[in-house]
Amino acid sequence: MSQPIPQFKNEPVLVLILGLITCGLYLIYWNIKAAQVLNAAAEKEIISQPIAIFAGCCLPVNLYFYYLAGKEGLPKVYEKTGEVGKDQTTLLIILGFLFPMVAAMIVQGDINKLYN
Amino acid sequence: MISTNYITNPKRFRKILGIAGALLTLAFPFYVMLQSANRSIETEQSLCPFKLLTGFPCPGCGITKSLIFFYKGDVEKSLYYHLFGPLTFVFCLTAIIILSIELVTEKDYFQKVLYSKKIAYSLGIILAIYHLTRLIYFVSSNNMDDILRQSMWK
Repeated sequence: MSQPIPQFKNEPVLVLILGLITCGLYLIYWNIKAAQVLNAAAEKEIISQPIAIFAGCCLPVNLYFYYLAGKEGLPKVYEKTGEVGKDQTTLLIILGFLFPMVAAMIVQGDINKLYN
Repeated sequence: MISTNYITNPKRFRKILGIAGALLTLAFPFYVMLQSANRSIETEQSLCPFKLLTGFPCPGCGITKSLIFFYKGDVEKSLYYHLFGPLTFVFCLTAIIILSIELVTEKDYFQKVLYSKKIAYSLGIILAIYHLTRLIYFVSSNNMDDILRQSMWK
């Protein structure tokens, strides 16, 4: 499943602001787009669209989303950007539980490096 | 020797995580219901971090209360707190049963539904419309003081 990486470059702080303004609705859209980018970077479907959508409204699914993003998605992004591989899974799960928008900011920041 | 096959096999591990998540989703409201047997759950402070921070509901707000009323057999109140509450119960129960069968038989029965984009987008759109409607209703029926009272700031 080799496909071009979709364009999804945002200011991380914008993710926070839009998430707050729309009371979490923007995060559902963000989850879908981030999943598409991570899947394209990994060249396989690691986060399915249903998981991305339900992560926006169901806490256990949200934690699973960040588990997959940290464990399988972001390492592939780091591979492509030439960064030293680091495991952010635990941090993302904790932030995904307490402040999903902040976890989204971290993932967005890493995704942005793909377009530099 | 204990088998660690579930760790080395990512697909199997994901199924175990799915069962654990579904169990957690169903067990937590049940625990809250038992803990609050003698007091009204309706006036209890929401545990949602977003609601605590802003006073506004997130798309998943109310599912716990919805499940509690569903357990009590009050479907009307369950739907009032969240339209997706009873659906969550059915989905989680189905997921636990089918994923357990899949683990035992080592076959896939649930993947088509779980990975169906059509179902996911349809439910996503319904959820977005529902949340938007709920937000409009919430803002029109609560003043600033009520909203602040539902947050951790007052």
